Amino acid sequence: MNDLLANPAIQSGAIPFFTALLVAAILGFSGLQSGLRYAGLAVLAGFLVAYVVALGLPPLPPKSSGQKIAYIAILAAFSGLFFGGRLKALAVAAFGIVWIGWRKIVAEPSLDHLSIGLILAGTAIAIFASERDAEDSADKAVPLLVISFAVAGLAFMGASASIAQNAGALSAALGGLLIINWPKRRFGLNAVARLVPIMVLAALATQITLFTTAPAWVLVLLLPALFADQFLDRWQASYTALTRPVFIAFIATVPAVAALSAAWFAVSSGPSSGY
Amino acid sequence: MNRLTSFIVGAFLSIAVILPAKAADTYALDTAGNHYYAGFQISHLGFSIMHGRFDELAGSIEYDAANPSASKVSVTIQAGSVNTNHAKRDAHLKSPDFFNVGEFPEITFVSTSVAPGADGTAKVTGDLTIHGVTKSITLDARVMKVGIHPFNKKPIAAWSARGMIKRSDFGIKYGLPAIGDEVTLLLDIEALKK
Repeated sequence: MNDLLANPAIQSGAIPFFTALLVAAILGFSGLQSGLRYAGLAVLAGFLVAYVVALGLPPLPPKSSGQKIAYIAILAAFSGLFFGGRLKALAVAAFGIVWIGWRKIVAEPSLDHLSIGLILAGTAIAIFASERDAEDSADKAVPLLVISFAVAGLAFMGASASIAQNAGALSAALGGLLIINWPKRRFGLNAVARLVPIMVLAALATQITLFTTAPAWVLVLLLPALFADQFLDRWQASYTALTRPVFIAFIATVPAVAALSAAWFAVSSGPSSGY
Repeated sequence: MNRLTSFIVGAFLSIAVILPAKAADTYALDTAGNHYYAGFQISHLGFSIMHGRFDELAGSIEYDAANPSASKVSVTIQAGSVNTNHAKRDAHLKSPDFFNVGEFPEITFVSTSVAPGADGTAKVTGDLTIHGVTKSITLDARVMKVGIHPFNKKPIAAWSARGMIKRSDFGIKYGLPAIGDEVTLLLDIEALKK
């Protein structure tokens, strides 16, 4: 059992997926109106369980950037539930980014400051783009799942397995919530479900950019994935409730593959691997 | 107090000012000659014991041979100089998974007390800071030799220290328990008298 729990694929794949699925089912099928609203917390639940299994409970107060990720996820959920509005969400996301990277921010001016600005800009794009949809829409949740998976690959190339596992857990948790909403959209794909991955991804992107050897510039290549649903609409392809999320995922995969390919060639010695 | 007594007391006080009591000697780690080893050992998947070292460090020792308990130690290690003779593993150790050198570039040890033992040994207690976390640890130290360098004729001293920590105490938890929690510390240094 211990060997199974120590397997990264279980820690950051199966555990967050089934945790999110279970929490979404319990909340969404509870018959309570609040359950429908809070079902998006399934993403937070899946992510946090995976985080604790892989990295242990984070200390309070947290010291390192990795220890802050869990708290940023919780803050993102609060933002989605109670704060409302894109600007407030952006302010919370900006706090998370600064909290992760403050040691570099207070240091001598360098390219790190430009990087942090770009991450903030990318986060703003993600927040503003995701709020264009109606409530309970998978149109932005699906690209976020694909982006999370790509960030996991990028982190792995940057020699940080823990960041890769966090991003992978995010992807799997989103998958657990999405699968219960496919092909019929039921509940939970609201601001909570979208802001948790957006803000956690922003924090992970900050970690990758400032503290790993990954070619962080490829993160910019992932941004077009956020508009996969609009590309699909412009394409005017025929789709059903069953196939629309699949098409969106396929379109979002194109920039993700481009980003990972670019990162692969940029990393001269190849990705971190077992030794 | 008569004049003679005042003169005698004043003379003694003047001598005390002119000849201050002998203080501890300060030694700086021999970084120019790289005569130091700051290493660690850790269990790898329960199989072998992995060895690693840090290639860049600096520090000083205030050594009071007459009163060893008054001695002080201060060492700063560049975490990014970790070397396990494997480039990818070293890159992994520098990443946020372990030492996170981008965020915490230095490992420091500052002694708080020295408890002398027999035959030049001592328990050196101090604050060890790794990964932004400071914990009090005790090292088993020994004075190896204090004397004159046979070639450059300069005063030189050497110490050896050993200790044990748990990396989880310093917030470095990734890979537990596959990669061991207990880490053996080894420090062997030569230092030149300033």
